[in-house]
Amino acid sequence: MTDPTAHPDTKTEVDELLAAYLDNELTETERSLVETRLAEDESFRSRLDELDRAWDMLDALPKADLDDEKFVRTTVEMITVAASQEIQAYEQQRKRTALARQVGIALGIVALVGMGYMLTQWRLGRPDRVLVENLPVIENVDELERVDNIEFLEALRKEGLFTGETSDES
Amino acid sequence: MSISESTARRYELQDPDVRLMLLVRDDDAAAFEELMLRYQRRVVTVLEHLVGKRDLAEDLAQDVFMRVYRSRKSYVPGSRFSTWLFTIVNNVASNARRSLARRKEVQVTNAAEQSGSQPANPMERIATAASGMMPTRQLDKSEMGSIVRQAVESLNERQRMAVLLSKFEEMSYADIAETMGMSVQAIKSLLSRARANLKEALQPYLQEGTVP
Repeated sequence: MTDPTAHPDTKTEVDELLAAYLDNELTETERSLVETRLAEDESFRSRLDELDRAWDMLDALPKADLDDEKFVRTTVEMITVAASQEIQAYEQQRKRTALARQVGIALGIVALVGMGYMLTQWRLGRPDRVLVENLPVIENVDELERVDNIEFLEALRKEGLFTGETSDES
Repeated sequence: MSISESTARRYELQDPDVRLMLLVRDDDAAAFEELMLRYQRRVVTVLEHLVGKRDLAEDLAQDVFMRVYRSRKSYVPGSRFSTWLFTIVNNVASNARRSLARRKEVQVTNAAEQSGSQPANPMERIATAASGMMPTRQLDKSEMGSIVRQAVESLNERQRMAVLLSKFEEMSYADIAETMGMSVQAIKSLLSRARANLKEALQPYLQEGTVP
């Protein structure tokens, strides 16, 4: 708190104190101290008077002369137009969102069907693939049955005969 | 910033305009019109002194009320209604001044070149206003209004806003601080400097409203 009984060093401090006094922003104690000094100090009182009179001159500022009804009407119309535009924009956005959702669902269904189809094909095709993989053995099953030497068969496996990848092919 | 229920309740009980705004929140059109009728002149007056143009002030005031209406659903009373409203006014005016400043960058130079003997400084304009060379005479109402307006225009933007809120809205330092997003101490200094500047600008007219 500024001590109003002391003589402030600067005019700024005095002005701040007096402005707060005029604006009724001082505590009771501060107000009382300012009033005491006002009674004693002519220059302090004179400064308060100048600031107060300059402030009072603001009453001469022209006030807005408004056609109240017209202002309300036009403002409400503007709000109505803006609200209707907002509703339209919201509706369009809602439609776009709904369309995007439907397209997303459709694409999801298509993807699921595709994946299901591929999975089914993979599952159904599995026995055939085993047969294809073992085709070299199946084709030669009669000859292979006659072989009773396990080392010979092991050598054929290493050569890749059973997988169809013989050293001749490579 | 969240506002406690007790604070909201307190302002609802204390401030009839808060109660009206709560009705607006519930889509009561009549309450909105009532609020506009109560505040539109005050808003236009403040805006006119902030932006210096009547037509623009009215457009901006409509923008202010549109913002109020748009914000209704999220409105929670955390201060007096006028404090909340003039915070919007302050923001709208700041945006408008920034736009005007950008547009005027070139115009100001041209105007200064064309004005010839007309002083660019508002303080100087005040000194030469109202027939400064004429003998001492009583100022009429419109002359006085013009001089005081120029004195207010000579204040910087923040001082002007603080002065208008203090003088015409009779706001406390705390409410002005909230409206302008500043501290109470800053508002205290701002208003003190504004008063001193006004006193300086109006010094020649303080004695019985005369022109020297």
